[in-house]
Amino acid sequence: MNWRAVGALLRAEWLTFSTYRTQTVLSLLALGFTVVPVYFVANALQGTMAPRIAQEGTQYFAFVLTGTMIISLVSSCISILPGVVQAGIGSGFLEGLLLTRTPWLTWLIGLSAYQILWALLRALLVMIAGWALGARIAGAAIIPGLFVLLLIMVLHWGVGLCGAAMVIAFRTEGPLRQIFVVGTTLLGGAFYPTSVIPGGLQVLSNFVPASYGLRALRRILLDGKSFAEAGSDLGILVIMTVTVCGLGLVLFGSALRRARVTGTLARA
Amino acid sequence: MTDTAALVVVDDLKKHFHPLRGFRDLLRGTPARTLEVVRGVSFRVAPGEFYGLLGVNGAGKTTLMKMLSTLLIPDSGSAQVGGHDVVREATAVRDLVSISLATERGLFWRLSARENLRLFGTLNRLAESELHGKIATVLEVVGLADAADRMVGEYSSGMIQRLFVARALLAQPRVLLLDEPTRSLDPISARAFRTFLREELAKKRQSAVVLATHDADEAFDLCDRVAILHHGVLVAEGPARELAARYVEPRVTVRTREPSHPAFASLTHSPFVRRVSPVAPAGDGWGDVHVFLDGGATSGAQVLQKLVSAGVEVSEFTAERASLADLLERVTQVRA
Repeated sequence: MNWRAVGALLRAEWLTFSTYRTQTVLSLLALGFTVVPVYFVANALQGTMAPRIAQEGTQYFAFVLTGTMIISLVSSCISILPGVVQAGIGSGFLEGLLLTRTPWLTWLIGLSAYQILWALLRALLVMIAGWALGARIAGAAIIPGLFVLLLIMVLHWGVGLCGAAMVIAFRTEGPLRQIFVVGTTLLGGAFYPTSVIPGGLQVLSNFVPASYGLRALRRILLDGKSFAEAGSDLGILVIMTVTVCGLGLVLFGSALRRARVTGTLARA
Repeated sequence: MTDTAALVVVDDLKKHFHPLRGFRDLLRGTPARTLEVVRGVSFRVAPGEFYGLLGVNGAGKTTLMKMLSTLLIPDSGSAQVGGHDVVREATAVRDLVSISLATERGLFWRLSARENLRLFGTLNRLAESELHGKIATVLEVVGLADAADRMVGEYSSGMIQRLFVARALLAQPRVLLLDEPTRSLDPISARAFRTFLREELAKKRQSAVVLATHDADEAFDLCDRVAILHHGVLVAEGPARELAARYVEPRVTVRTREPSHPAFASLTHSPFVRRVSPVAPAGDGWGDVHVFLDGGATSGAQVLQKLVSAGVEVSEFTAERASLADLLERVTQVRA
């Protein structure tokens, strides 16, 4: 991996985004509008939800806060690469990058690095704001929690890679993002534990990667459990991450080669 | 030229596309159309040589350059750059080739030209210690040194094109592929750019330059040889002046007050004149008559002598240089 190239792209993205000052400020302000309503609603439902989330913290505000944060991360991580590739095809930037001596995986990572870090920063700010409002977060679990968070992000970046391949092949990522965001929201346990989902749908929730990530994250971050105690969920999450990223690499490589044959790399 | 001496070797290269079909075509079961864009093109380009690709829009010039730069995979045939196959050794080819496409828009628009070049220099693995100097040099060459720290989004279209050329030059390629490089350049910048290409790239570095152009100065004065493409077929190749001499009728233009003077009609019976084509006089009473010759300078002198001795009032007598349009038109007519 050419980390100098990744750094150069990260820097270019940072310099670009830093010129959008109003957008940056509004984006940060919007976090406040996310956290505060969650705080009031979650506190109102605390009595009802506490017994149902006994394995994942017991405090409903912290539970929902992590769910909200993960939905936002999933949505961001899936949409970054399809967006970058779509814009690159339209402008010819994709061709420009392909002509450089940098392998495509390196510039894909470089082009998405800034937005991934920005999404991560916003997620952390949500958690910090939640903590300031009284969310109970195990301080010692910050580093392991961050690891789970990164795993969830990499997995959904891989989904985005599949979406980017679809953009190259079909000019659309299709409903990929919606499927994963809705899946995470309704079946992934963002607002309620997957254990309360009715039988048939609970089977479907087994296919939602975020359900494993959320469970592991809450056990570690909110319940103070160790890595080993969240092991089964983490194991499945790792397998899913490797599988999805591997699939994404194969699909993207194939789509790129097909586009070089059909001459559709730069067609709008 | 032997293959070992050539930097670019293209043999029987072919490429076709299937234009997209709409829903209506799919429902009707209309078979996919095949567009043969490049049909069996072969040529060689030596180190230090300028090779021009000429042809009307859609002739296959850009597709050919994209195949040489590894952006497109040929259907059949082969292309090698510096001895590396563009399909099997694409990475090695990218180390040797830079391309500047006429329609490209791929830049960071809210960064300066210097920042953009710095990024692409890094992506092309130029050493950090070299970057600063090389960026300054290419910016100077394309005339953007004064605007180097301005946001690219504020640039005019000509400046943007110059920046793309600078980007292509930055990697110091052995083979430079340029698609209409001076299209948006003002005449002074275009001349400076051509001088740079000739002196620095071709003479000093012995790089090969393949350029698609519609510019007569580039075709006739800059290119050592040109290839004329017509519907994806290479129909003629050689120095542009030689092709012009071979395909385009030599012509003199006579400016006179009497374009319908009988002396012009009698010229057509001379063995050294092919045809005469008068043009309607302008408002000042003077008009041009094109006399197409069968022969060189001697024929022109004989035409002038005949007209003067017949008492035709001549204010200008010009031996016309074949235009690019003349050349393309004639070659494609003859070879079609």
